[in-house]
This record gives sequence, structure tokens and C-alpha cells, in this order.
Amino acid sequence: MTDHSYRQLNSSMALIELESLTKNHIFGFSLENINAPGFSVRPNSFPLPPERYSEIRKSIEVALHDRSKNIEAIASADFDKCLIRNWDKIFYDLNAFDASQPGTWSFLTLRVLFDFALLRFPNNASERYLGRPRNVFWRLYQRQSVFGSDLAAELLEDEAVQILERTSLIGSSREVARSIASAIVRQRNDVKRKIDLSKAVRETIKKLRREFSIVAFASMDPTEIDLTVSDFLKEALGNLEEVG
Amino acid sequence: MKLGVCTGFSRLPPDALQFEEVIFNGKSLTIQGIEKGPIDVSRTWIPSIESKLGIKYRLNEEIFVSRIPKVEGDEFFIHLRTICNGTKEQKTSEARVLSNLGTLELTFDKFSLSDSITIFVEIFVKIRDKSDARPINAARKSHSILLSNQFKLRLTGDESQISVFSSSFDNTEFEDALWDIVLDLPSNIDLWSTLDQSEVITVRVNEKLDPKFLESEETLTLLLSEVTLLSISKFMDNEEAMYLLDNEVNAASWLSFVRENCKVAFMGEISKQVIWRNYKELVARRIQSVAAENISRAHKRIWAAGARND
Repeated sequence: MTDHSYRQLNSSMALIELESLTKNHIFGFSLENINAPGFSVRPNSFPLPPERYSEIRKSIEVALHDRSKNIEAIASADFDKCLIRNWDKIFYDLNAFDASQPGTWSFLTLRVLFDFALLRFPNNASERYLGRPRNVFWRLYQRQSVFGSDLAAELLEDEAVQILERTSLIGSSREVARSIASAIVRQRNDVKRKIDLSKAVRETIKKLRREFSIVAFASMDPTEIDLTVSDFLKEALGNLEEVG
Repeated sequence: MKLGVCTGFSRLPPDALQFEEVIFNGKSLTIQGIEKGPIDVSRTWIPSIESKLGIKYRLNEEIFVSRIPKVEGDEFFIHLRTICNGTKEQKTSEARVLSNLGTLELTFDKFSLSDSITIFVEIFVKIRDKSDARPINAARKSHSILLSNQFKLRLTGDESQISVFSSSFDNTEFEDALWDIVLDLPSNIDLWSTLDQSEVITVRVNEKLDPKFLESEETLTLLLSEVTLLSISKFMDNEEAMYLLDNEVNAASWLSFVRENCKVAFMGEISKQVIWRNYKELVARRIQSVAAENISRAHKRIWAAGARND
């Protein structure tokens, strides 16, 4: 064995543990719980040591404290921004393979960070705590890995979701996704325009999907991609202004 | 193969571009029927290795010339684009000037892939002269896709399979060995019951070996026997592991595999460890015999499927 792997909980195990957590309303982080049976790891690897999970918790706590004196009262948007901005420090050893495994997020959420998950999504749907794309931490991982921490922290929930949910063309291309995100952030900073940006974003993404299904965007120069994206966004904004 | 959704200009039919060879991690895959379903490459991939994909293509020039209008200044390119369905990452090869015969290559970093990869081979046109005076069936937008053929590689196979991939043994102390079998087991024995064979057993086969030799029933029998004996040996000097072997603990595929083989190897004897210590050659013979039977039974099914898919 040559390296460590994030521990994973399979879906049935995760459901059982979530049921128990929500029924008993008791969550206590402990190294024993990290080592409790029922988890698996990536082939040919060691399980990540329990102490590393303590470190993850500590890093999150410190990051949230820096943002708000009272962690329990932290606003949802601040929680997301804070984790995204500190992601590389907190999860510095998480690779794309481990991050693509639903079980990794189930384990992290249910055995390590359940109290933090409840801060962000108190009494929410189970998909926020299980290894599903809308998981409280998985969605933040996706955002920061696609857009980079700075851009990801500037995007609103709805905007990020619209870009990322189209993985076959737009969401899987870092260049295109970042280009769209940059255009959105630039536009938001343009104080002269007071307009429903999320409607314009929706329109723009629809058009880009059509465009990029007939154009080999993957071999386009980044400036050409930027130009196409900003032209489409301007057009969408113009249409909205006309209607308005 | 699906054709890109392009309207308003001439495009190429899928058969305008044929794959001469598709190579993944050093293994040449069977191309026939490549478009029909995912090709299983799980035996040549594990997450922790850098992976390489190479495609040799041949363009049908006759079809190309008859379908695509010739416009001065237009240049035609081809590239390889992939989307990993697990990590959701997209990757593109360098675009190359389209030729009648060519090769496209992509390298994937370790841990950057999971589940499966969808591969697109796209031909597109770069337009220099953007005036309106273009033939009616010519593309008007630069980078318009003229053809997009796609297929899929499945990386994660049956979890009861063993991960086998070819590797260079050059400059090692075992450069003439046939293979290198690695059993990766966590020190926490409680976890052994949760592991699948694909998680535990990795076989690196010397890349110098002739694939035909490797696929013969005799060679596979030898390989499976060695894997089985090594697996059993992990239990024999460890009381905690023996307990796991002898009790009705729910088992994932690796422990089940060892249990099944132990039934044959020790013929129901209670004192397995004594037999192992004193009559190892007898155990080896029994294991080889059952391995030969299993290989013979599975050979046509597994390797025929492998040949079809790989």
C-alpha cells in the first residue's frame, strides 16, 4: 500500500447511520466512531488515519470562527464562502477519485462533520447528509474544484447550480465554467445595471449549450470562449431590459 | 456512434472516420462494435496509476471530399475530447491538422478518473475568411463540428474481478518474472471481510509477455493458483484472520473467494494450519486442480467477453 484513502460508507450503511442520528439527535465525534466497522477504502490504499479527521474538524472550526464569533449563528452564505475559501487548507489531501465516490461524502458527513452539516442545513432533506451531489460538502467541493476558490465564493447558489448541473458540455469544462462564472461576477459588479441576473444566466447557459453542441469549444482559444460567453450574456441582459 | 447535432451545413457520416486501433494503458482494444456499448477496461486500470489513451484513425477521403465543400483558407482539425463520468472532468488532446491517417493521444493523471470515460473524436473546421461568400453547404462559424464519433470505456468492472495490468519490469530485480502479485490488506483485520477481490489483488504482468501466452488456460491456471495460495497464506499465520475465515461473518468477494478455496484445499479438515505447515505441496496440488477446473469453465466466458470488450 502506498497511500491513504478517504474512508467511505456505502449507501445502505449511510442510510442506517443517518436514521440513527436523526432519531437520537445525538452526534459526538470520536476516534472510535471513525474506526467503527462498516466503512471501506479505495483499492490498494490505507484508510485515512482517524487523527486526520480530527484535524479536518479543527480546521473547519477555526475557519468558521474567523468568520463569525458565534459559529452557531453563522449565515448559510457565510458558511459556504468560508469553507470554499479554506477548502485547500482543510481538505488538502482529497483527490478527485476519492471525491467522486458518494461513500466518501457519506462518511465525512455522518461520522465526522454531522454537527457542522446541521449548522448549514438544520432539519433538511436527507440528500444533504448522504453521499449525493447536493450533499452539504460535496457541492462545495464541486464548486471550488471547477471554479477555483475565489470565483466559487462569489457565485450565488442558483448560478453555481445552473452551470454545474450541465456536466456533459459546460460543467465539466473548467475553461467554459470559469468563463461563465467570471462573466457573471463582472456583471454583478457593474452597479449601473439593476437587473435579475439569474434570469439572464439561465438564458445564457441555454444558448451556450446549443452553441457548444455544434462548435468544438474544447479547442477554442480561452479568449474566444470568453468572447462568446460575454456576448451571450450581454444579449440575454439586453433582452431582459427590453422586456422590463 | 452519434453524430453531432449540426444544422445548416454539410457534415460527415460516422463512417467517414474509422478507428484503426484504440490503446488504453498499453492494451490494444477490440474495435469491432466499439460504438455499441462501454468497453470494459477494468483489468488495465486502477485509480492510482497514470493512464494513457491512444487512438489511431483513418479518414475516408472519398467521403470527406464528396461531403465537405472546399473553401480557400479553411483548415480541418481533429481532436480527442473526454468526459470522465465519475470525476466530471473534461480533457482535450491537442488539436491536430486532419490527415488521412493519424494518432491522437491523451494522458490522465493518477486519481483523476473514476467510473467511466466518454470519448469524443471530433473533426472541426477553422475558418479564416469570414465573408458571406461561402458555398451554401459550408460551415459559417469557425470551429464548427463536422463529425463527432463517440464511445465509452468502463473503468470499474465487476468487483469480483482481479485488477490485472501490464507493466515494464525493466531495471528491476525481477525483470524476467512473469508477473508480480500484490495483495494489499489493511492491518485492521476486521476490515478484511468488507473487501472485494478487486480491492485486494493486483497483478502486474510483465509487458514482455505475449498476450496469447497470458490468455492460455495453462498460464491462467498457474496465475490463479498463485493468487489463491498467496491469499490463503495471509490467513495461516494469523489467529485473528483464521477466526474470520472459520466463522460465518458476512463476507465481501475476497473473503468468500478464500473461504471457497479453503474448502477444497483442506477438504473440511479442522486443523488447517497444521496441514498448511506440513503438507503445503498437497494444498498446492488441490488448489491448482480446482483453479484449472474454474479456468476451463470460465475461460470461454471471461476471455471471450474480454476479447470482445477489450
